[in-house]
Amino acid sequence: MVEPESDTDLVRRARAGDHTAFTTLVREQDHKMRGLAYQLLGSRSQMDDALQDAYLKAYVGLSSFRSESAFGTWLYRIVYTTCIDHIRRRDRRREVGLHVVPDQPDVLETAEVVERHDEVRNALDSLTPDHRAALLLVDREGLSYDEVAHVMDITPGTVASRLSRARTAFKAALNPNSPTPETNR
Amino acid sequence: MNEPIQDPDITEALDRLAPPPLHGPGFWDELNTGLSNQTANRASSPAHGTIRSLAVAAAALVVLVGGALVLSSTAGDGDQNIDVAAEATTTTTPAPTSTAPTTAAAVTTTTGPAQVTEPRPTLVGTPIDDSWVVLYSSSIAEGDYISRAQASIDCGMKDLAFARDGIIIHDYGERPGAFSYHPGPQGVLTRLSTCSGTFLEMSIGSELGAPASGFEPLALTPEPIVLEDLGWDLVDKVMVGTAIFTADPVSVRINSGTGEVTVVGSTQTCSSFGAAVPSAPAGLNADQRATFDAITAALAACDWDTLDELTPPTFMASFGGGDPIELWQSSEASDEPILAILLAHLSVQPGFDHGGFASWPRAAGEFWEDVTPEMQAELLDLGYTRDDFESYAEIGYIGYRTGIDADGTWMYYVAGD
Repeated sequence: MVEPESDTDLVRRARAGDHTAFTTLVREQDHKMRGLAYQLLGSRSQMDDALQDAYLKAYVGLSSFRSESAFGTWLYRIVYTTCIDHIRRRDRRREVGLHVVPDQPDVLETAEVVERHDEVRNALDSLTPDHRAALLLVDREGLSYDEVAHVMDITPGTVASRLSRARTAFKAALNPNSPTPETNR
Repeated sequence: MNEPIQDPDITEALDRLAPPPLHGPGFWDELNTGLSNQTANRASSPAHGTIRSLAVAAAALVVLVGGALVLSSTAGDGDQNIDVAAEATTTTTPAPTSTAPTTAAAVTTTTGPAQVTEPRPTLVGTPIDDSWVVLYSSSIAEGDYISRAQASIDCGMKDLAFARDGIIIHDYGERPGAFSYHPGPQGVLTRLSTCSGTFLEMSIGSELGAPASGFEPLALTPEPIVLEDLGWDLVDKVMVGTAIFTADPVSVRINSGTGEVTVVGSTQTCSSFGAAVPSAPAGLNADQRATFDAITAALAACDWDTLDELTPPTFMASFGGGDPIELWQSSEASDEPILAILLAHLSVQPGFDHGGFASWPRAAGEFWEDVTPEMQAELLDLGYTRDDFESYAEIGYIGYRTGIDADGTWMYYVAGD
């Protein structure tokens, strides 16, 4: 029986220019990366655009990967920052009024439109991208605060604070009729 | 902080999300093609990733400016970069190819399937070695600009220079970081950032076609920490971009004549955003001054995370208790400019007790009968009224007040009684 190659071996081969090794590494993580990118960007076409960019960046930057973190965490960081860049660019295009061609809906995306009515999705959409990312990475993907801090390039304390606010806002969006704390002012 | 601490209710809710869609057709083929291109480039130019980004940005700018710009991007092929701008028409050519020696008579560029041999500018000056490559060139009105960089640095570029008509006329010297070039209706802006994205400087050419050697540094006010995604708003003829001050990214407009930076949108706005930051008043010790500066900077940047960090568990934002950030965000959401009020109160003189505790405004620490006319004038400036004074005469000052302990701990920001 052939043992699957370790990430370390795959990284070594990918650094040497072996595309197959690199795509093997990426495909192992792709489901998780799609999960983050899709929830941040909201459509398949934008997810694909961002992940193309992110994976190429990862390939180019592989020489800087020091294996101090898991490859998946390192890749998360690249995907997260790339998605945030895409969001900024998208917002700026809207800002200056450039004509942005909307995604052409296909069968899958028509289904996505329906899906967006889902209350959980709507609650998630109500969060800012960084809060959404913190929530997904911890409460969906099970990353530790330290890992999320690495992905988002913030301190673990800031992760905790963002997560706390994200959870509060998410719960409030899910249960809009629930009581809120009263102020005595 | 190493253990994942999931909220089971939220985890359960997130599990109800549909799984992410599969990639569109051709995703992996496209990736493999990209990897092949990168590998081919890597062999001769380690900085191809940066060059690709620049070229993509440059190509986007062509779309932005239209009209008088010819920009031949060298795209992502860092080892093969040369391009020539010849005519003042709006065209974008894909990834021209060539080697990048410092002198040559001609160069072959690839324009779609056809190959065209065009005159090539003679690049002179003081290149460090043959590893110089041309990133892209552009022709704006009468001026030809060619930016060049040594493509041998992993992060960003070094030895960045402008050439005009093949002659280096503005050399930035060794500057680690990223460079961008933004031709527009009021001239040409250049921007330098560090590898980590920190904004370094911006220069502007005064008019279209002006030589790059005449570029003048443009002092931005306020100066962002990060400035990116720059482009021209052709309607208002100002630069637009995304900036980070000390909070989340905000959309900004830059007056290219004065350098004035105007925030036009924020993901986290609050009433104190963009307000002038007051200087620490006399009488504060070093710890108090540090806290004061941190609070006021966070207020002006609407930096909720820092405000959160500055409020200890004992901090009082309401006599009824509650998380200060939640209370303030709730107030702001209800159109009560609670943070602007706080910043205004921190802008007047504090009073001190015998232990060095500082409280704003001064009247807050006094019996009303001891509040001087000067202190009353301060309160009037803050928006209080003579009617308020009448009630304070009976029950004492109960307006907004905040205090920093002698050890620098921010203690409270409350109003009422």
